[in-house]
Amino acid sequence: MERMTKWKTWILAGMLGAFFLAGCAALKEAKPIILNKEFEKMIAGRLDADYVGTDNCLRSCHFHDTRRRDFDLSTMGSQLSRESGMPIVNCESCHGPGSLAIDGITPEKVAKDAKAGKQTVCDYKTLVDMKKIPAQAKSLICLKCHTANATFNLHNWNVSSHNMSDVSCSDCHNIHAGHNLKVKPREMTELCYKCHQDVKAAFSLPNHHPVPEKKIFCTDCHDTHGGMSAKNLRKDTVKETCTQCHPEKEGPFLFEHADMNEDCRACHTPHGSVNQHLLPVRQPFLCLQCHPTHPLSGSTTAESKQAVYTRCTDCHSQIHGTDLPSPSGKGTFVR
Amino acid sequence: MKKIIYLIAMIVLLAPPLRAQEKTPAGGQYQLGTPFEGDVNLGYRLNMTSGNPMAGEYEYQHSSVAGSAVIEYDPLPHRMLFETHIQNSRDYFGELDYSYKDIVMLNMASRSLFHNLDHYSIGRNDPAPGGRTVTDLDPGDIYGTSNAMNRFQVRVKAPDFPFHIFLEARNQEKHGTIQQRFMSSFTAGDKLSRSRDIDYETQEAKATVNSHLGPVEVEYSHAAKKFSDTHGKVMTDTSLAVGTYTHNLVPDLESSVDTVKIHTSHTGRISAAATYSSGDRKNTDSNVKAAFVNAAGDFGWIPTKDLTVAVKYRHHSVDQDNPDTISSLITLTTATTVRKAINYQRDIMSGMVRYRATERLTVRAEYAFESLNRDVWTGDAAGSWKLDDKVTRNTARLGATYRFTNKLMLRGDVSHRTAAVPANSVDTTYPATSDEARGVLTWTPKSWFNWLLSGGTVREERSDLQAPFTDKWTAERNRVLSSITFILGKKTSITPSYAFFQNKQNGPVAYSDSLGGITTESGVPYADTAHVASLSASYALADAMLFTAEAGRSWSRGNWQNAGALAGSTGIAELTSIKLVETTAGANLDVRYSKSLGTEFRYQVRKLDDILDSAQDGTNQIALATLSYRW
Repeated sequence: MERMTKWKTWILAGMLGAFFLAGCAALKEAKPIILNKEFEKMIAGRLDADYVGTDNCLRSCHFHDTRRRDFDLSTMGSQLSRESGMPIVNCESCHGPGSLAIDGITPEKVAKDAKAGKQTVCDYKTLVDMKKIPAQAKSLICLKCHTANATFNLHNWNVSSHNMSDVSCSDCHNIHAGHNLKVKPREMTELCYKCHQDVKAAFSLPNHHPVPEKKIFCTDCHDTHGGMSAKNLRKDTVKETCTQCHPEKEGPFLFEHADMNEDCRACHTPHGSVNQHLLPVRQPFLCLQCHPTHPLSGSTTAESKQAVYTRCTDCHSQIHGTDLPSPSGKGTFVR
Repeated sequence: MKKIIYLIAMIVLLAPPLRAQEKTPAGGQYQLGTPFEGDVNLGYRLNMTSGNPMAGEYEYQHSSVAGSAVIEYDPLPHRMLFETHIQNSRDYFGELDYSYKDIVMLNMASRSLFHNLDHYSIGRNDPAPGGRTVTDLDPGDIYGTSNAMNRFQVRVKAPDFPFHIFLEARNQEKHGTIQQRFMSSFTAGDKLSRSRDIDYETQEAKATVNSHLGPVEVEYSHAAKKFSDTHGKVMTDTSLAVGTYTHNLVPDLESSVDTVKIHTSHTGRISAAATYSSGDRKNTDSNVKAAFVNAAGDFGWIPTKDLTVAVKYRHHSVDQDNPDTISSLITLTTATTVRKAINYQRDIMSGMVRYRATERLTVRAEYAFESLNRDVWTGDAAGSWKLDDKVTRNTARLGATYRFTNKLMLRGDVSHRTAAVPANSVDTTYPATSDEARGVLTWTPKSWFNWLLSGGTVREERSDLQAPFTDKWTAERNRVLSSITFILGKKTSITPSYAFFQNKQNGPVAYSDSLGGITTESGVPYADTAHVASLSASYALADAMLFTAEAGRSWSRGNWQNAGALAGSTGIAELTSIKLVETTAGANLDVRYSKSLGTEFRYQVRKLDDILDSAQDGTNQIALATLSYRW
């Protein structure tokens, strides 16, 4: 315990030291170990183009007024100033330099088009083609800033199953959906179903967690950005994830169900099941797989035998662990 | 928490419409405009249930005023977002986000759900001498719990620098009545059922600090959690033959954890991340302590734009310390010797490669090695732990995504897993071999037609079972899903879907008779299947009138069937059979009378038809009518 306290002290001291170091302006730059030049070329846009600023980009294009307003009202649009030393985020941060796109568009042309009742269209093909670049390069557009921003929900992103399966940030975060870029929990489920149709089907089974009812959400259990455990779970282990809502089963108990308790999926299938309590196999067959005998001693009638080979948890009701021993002293979860 | 959120929300709701008028855009020129948007719905929700309340498993069986609100108000540099959906006093969701510049961010969330619970029949009473008695002391009771969760989180950031301090508090309360089933006589094996009130309370607090430090970013957090049952943690029966009988204890639990994370920039060819988490859990009733460590290391490498390599290491260990004896306070009579717990360490090393071979083809390969080392106590003469000291698993997975055309794409994966489990192991959670194949086909030949077909199968096998078994255990899980979407004109879309789930297992079962002799039965089959068919449709009756509807039906059945190898065991599986038909339907009509004013009407029904036990049948209907106003 003393060692632990010492260890924590060192960690805290280290963090405080880091905070002082943080005053150094040079530290505000993200420093990749080796640059990924191929991806950077893809998202840099035309090298013969110049940055012209959002005002120039949108001066003639009121089609984008809503997006501009959303952007101005968003954290990215108005809270980061050039003076802050933080990366500047505007239209060209993602779409690349825009001078070629608005080349030849003069205030006179805009006025003339407006008089004729038409929108002056820019040459958007000179901008970064978001549809053609690989998912990982597309994510890099966002990561350019968010990797240098101490965004720890991206801690495991690079090796996450989503990143390895060509899912990019914009597949879930619709940058132009509004000024609040947060994916609302109640909208998240339909977003996940776009790819995970099999999970949607499992939720339509008679026994399921109340995701279709919108009482809990995919993000209660999963962190889409990746995590320490398999299946992108929000917590470090399966047990920690489940005991967020089922804390009475966390333990430790004097009599644990061996190490099965650490992975609740040994006996439960989380999305949906035809069986009660989300069991993958009905009792008693589920239990009999690991506990292949049960004494029928004293059972002289069919009813009594049936009482044994039925729902095991009728008697073993503390199946997740107990502090009270059975008569044998073993703790068979019967009290 | 809920009251605080709604109080703040009221202020947010009432103040801005007045102030919003000040910033109306002028002319055709761009101006920031009104920083206020609101959508408020208020109405009445009718809940009608007949038969078993489990038909509306997650519905609180009461009618009440209901409503929702989504309000965004951004008088820069302040930003506020409030969202709430209230069905009744037990079913609600509310969340409030507030930020000042990017310096302070505050999030408060409160939600609750009600869960109706089963009241099981616990079997047939056996009045014969020596037979088991089965008694339900509260046969008419209806069970359910409400589960409320509140969260408060504040993030403070250093101005112009990504140094953050997070403080988070969570609270969870579960109240209600559950069915407590238990064994009331160890010698006769009698079963009892009683109602039990529960009042669970969980409190969590977490403090986190993180910062960007040039080449790396570092985070440290400390979290603590406490759980208690404030109503009565143990049940006591005095009327039984054994005298005062304590059972089904729900102990108070405490835990804390310290976590350090460090990662490099995510933008380079090479990236790395490491996590080290160390904590302890304590049961304050039995004084059990468990220390645990979770550690992770990630390494990512992108040598070329088409190739990505990822290597992951995961470590998880638990070291539980049980007291040698249990206090007589919680035992039947005297102190009891306790066997040692199983401590274990699990290490997983995995590598993944993703290669974009052509514009159309991407292949993935993955290999994982898992090692589980258990510290199984051999000091118990009875050999109470029949688990293996060491289990290793190897998993290889291959996958590919092929885009035949822009309209037709196929994605598939196959995996093969082997587990080295010692012969005669009792642990069937590790099948000796496990093979899996799955695929998804998406086809969009026309803009109005979209078809998704997916399927998967898993085959598992395990021989070398523990004596007295000589045959093997097998499992097979299959699923198929097909979903087609038709978009008919600009107004209509229809999506019929069908899903099939099948789960088959085959293995031995053993019985010991009254003399201790064991009778085995080989190849006892178990199976459950489900067919789920659904149809959803939406139709825009007019520009300001949208009608959506959906209907679904699932047929589930399952059983295991022993052959009666032991005299008198015929039919013992009867209570575990299932034959259930579930029907759901819903319709929604959304009408906008003006830009601001609208109404919504919603109706949904869920019907459960248990073919084997009509006591489980029930129908739940919900009707909702709301008036909405948008700013």
